[in-house]
Amino acid sequence: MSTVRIVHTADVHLDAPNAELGERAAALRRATREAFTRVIDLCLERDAHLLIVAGDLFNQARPDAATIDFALGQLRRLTEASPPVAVALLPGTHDCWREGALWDSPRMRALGDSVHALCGPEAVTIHLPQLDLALHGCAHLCGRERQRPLSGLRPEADLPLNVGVAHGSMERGDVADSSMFDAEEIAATGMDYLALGHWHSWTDHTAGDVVAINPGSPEIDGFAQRDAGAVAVVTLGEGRTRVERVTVGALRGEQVAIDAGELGGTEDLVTRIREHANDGLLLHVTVGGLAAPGVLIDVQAAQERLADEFFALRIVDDTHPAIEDLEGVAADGLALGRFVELARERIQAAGDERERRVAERALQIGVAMLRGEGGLR
Amino acid sequence: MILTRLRLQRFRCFRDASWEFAPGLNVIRGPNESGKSTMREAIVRLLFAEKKVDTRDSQFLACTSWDCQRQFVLEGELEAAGRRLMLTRDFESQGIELCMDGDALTDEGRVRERLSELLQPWSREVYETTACLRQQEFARLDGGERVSELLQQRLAGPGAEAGAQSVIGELDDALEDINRGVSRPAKHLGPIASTMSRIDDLEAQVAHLRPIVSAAQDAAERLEQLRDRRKDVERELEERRHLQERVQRRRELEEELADLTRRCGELEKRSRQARELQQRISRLEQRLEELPDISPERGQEARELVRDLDEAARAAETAEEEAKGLAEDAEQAEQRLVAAREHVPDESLLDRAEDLQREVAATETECGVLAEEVEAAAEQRASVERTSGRQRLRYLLAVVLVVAGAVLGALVSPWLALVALAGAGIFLWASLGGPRMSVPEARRRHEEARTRLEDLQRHLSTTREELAAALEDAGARDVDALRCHLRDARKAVEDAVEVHARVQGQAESAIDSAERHRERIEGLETQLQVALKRADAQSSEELLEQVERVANARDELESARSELKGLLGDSTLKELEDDFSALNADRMGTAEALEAPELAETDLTPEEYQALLSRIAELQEQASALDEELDEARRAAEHPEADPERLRSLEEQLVAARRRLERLEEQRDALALTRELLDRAHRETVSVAIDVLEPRTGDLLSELTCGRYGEVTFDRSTLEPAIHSSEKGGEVDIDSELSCATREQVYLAARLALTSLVWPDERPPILLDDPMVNFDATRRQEALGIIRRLAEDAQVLLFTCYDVYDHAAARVIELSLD
Repeated sequence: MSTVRIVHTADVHLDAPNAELGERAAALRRATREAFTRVIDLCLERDAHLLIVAGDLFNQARPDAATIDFALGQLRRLTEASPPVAVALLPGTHDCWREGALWDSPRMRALGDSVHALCGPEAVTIHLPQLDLALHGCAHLCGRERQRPLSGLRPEADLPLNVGVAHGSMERGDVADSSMFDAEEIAATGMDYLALGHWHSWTDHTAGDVVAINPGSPEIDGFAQRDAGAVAVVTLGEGRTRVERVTVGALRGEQVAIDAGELGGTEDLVTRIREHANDGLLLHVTVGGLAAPGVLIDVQAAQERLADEFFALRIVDDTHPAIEDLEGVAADGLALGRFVELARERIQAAGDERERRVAERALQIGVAMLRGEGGLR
Repeated sequence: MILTRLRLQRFRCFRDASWEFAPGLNVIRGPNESGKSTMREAIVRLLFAEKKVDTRDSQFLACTSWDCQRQFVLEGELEAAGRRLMLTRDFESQGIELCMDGDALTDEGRVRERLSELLQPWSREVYETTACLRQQEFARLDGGERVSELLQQRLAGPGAEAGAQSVIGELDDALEDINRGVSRPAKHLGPIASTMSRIDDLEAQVAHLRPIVSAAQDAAERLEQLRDRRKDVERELEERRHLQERVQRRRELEEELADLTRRCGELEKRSRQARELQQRISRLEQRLEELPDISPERGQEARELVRDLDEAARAAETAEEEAKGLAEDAEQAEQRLVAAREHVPDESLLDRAEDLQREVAATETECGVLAEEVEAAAEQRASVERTSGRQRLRYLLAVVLVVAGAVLGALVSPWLALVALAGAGIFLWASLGGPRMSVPEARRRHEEARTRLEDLQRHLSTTREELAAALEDAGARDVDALRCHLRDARKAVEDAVEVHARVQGQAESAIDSAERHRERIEGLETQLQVALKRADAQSSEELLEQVERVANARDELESARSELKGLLGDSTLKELEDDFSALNADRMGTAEALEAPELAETDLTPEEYQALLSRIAELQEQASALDEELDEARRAAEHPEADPERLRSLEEQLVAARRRLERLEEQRDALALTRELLDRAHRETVSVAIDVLEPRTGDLLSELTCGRYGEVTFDRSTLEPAIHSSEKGGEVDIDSELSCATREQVYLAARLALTSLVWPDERPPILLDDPMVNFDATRRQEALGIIRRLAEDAQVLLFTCYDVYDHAAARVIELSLD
């Protein structure tokens, strides 16, 4: 076969709980399922020869039956296609491999000969003679720390195409993970293509002659997620490796910072956030900076008012009162001044972040109410 | 700080006006609506302009002179801390300029900062509360309570509408709202309680659902394993069943072969028997041809003929013997008849005996009648004798009574004569009651009857003896026996006659019968001769033997034919032999099928076959048990409530609810802390202020009221002022017991005291908008004295309609309506 087309995805995390999204988490799970369905659609549309899921197809080593049914149902669309699309599944850090568990279960085995789970305590090689291709992968083992998933991957010289599959983090000073590799290891694999997974954002880890792509999740998984929602369509053959990034996710995430000093109150905040309104957007808003004394910003009220205008909205109140603006007030010797003095003392004496927030909030409430600028009214 | 010059452009009634002010007391005098309050407001706006001016605000718009399109401009020259300042606020251009020490600042922030340094960090609100007394505040005050509230707000540093106390009240309300239902049950739960309730509900649902989902998950995995095992068992079961079927097939073939072999043997045997029977039939047919042609009917006729002949011979012999015997019987009957006739008795004896017996019976009847008569005569005799005795006794008594009555009547009393009368009565009764017959007559009649009876009894005895003798002669016991004997003898004779006649008839009949039998024998012998001739027999015995021989041969032939028919049925021997050939071919085929490859290794020993069946049964049991386990696992896995997505969703909602609770608790804590700090600030501030305020206010009030009221206290919480009067000897009710002027004096004293309290050093210009309008002359003078003293340390601008203060002023500025 002259060229081989591979659709490479990872970190689908089907049916993952997401406490961060609260009641919108279920909708995100549905969106993730839809994105995975689009990955399968893409395989069929592009006449892909092979689908690689480089770890964490499931969010846990013991997914529930409905989740397995969904995943297997989608994969069956590939195995029942004509000609069938081969599938390579690698156990990741979440859906790790344990003997006799998920990946060895009868249901997985029943998928047929065209579905290959790269399982086992050691690196495994699977030959796909119809593609003149060898798949090399090392499953993530449950409960095992400091795994080097690339250490055992070596190409077979007598085959024209070798593809490695691994799930782990790139070595970085600030990252400690149970499964790691570095650029030298990537280069040393000598693979025609290295299908990576674990990080949820699209990342190119190409090193030496080895093209290594971490495509990220096919759908965004939270507010903080960026550069997710894509898969890699890889074409191998004719002596080169071409990678195309194809978006399959329907959602996007955005983080916005708003300076409280520019806000006169909650209404201003609502107006500012509404500028970003989009029902496919997971918007994370941080209201920071110094709020003018007595300016009360109710982020909870704003969030409740705007919730329906976004796929998900989270507003974090990271404001602090502009205490310096109250310097004059604090010295006037009257109740407001004394109150400001007492509140400042509390803020300074706060033992933890919560105490500090409470004291700052109290200062804002007190000043606002004493000035008659709204407050609880 | 003093204001040395003020210029107003387009500010209310002042299109363009300017004034010079002196240090100390300045009196700005003019009639109503001449611009006094306008000037005061202009000074306040100049010194304390708002950070952000709302140009659409109606109050702001009202500041611009009528018919002017441009906004107003305020200019003021000030002296503060020994420096001169020029401050300009142009509300048209929204600009501000502060010239000081040769510098001109136009940046609002820097100007505000510099002014703040000069004016002390006091806000407009504080200024208006203390050093700026607006006339309308007093004018519109309708009681001490309102003033007290205002004073409290001002002391606590509130805004235009909120006081610390009311803010605390609001906070309390807010805390109550947010905490409603937390520590006490409530109909409508507050946000914390409702969130806690929601959390409890979610936790309960999660706690309920989690084990169900977990169990369903386990069951689903187990289901998968069980299905796997079930497939293994099914696979082995299939193999074993297939083997069993092949073994079964072998066994069936073997049985079929055995059956075919048996049936082949049977057919072969039947063929042989049929052949033998056919040979035998041929022999029998040949033998029948050799015997006389005696048909079964002829044979039967011959048998019957011989039998009839025998029977007829025996009957003839019997009839002859019977006739002989009957002849002897007839002779004996005749002899018995003669004897019977000899035994019949004489009939006269019976007549004599019957006559005697009748006579005896008549005599016995007569004796019985006569015996009754004797007895009746004896009874009559006895009765006559008893009646006669009683009559004699009555006579005797009657005599005695008559005698005694006659004597006593004569001697004692005439009345006693009545006794005699009674005696006469008794006599009469005795005479009437005597016997009808005499005693001798009765005795005679009795004797005669007895004699006749004895005679009759003797006659009876004689007759009886004669009867006995007659019976004895006849040989009978009595007359009846004699009569029976005679009758029996006559009957015996009749019977003997009848028997004799009958036996005689029978004997004759027997003779006739014997004669008829002999005739029939002759006929039968003729027929026998014909039969013997036909059967070539010499005697009847030989005839019967021949007949039997032919019959036996025919029976044997029929039996053989019947047997052959039973063997062949509707078939022929040829067909039977063909059937045998076909069956034998089947047998050979079955034997070949047994050797087929698919039946290889199926020749199990019984032990092996039993082991196979046991294994199949064991596998079936395993499959059945697995099916049950599968059903159980399926039920558990398909538990209607086992919805992992719902559990996830609930857990996420729980996290969200807990976050909301945290936020609410933080908000509650912030409110509580606000309240705590504000309450503390309020108390501390008020306490400090009041400690100073009370004596200062007291001194000023004493001065204003010429010593009448000198003691003022303020409530620590409400700041309600209280006036103590030594004259009254207690607290005075400000509202009801003080006049309007005195009440204003109380608040003027409080404000002036408060001014000295909050402006201890550098004071801004003190603006007094006609505060003494209601004071009498004495108290106005006292107030003026206080103001003059105040003006020693600060510039005082006194706005008034009157000229009574002119003499005390450093400068008087007159305003007119023009």
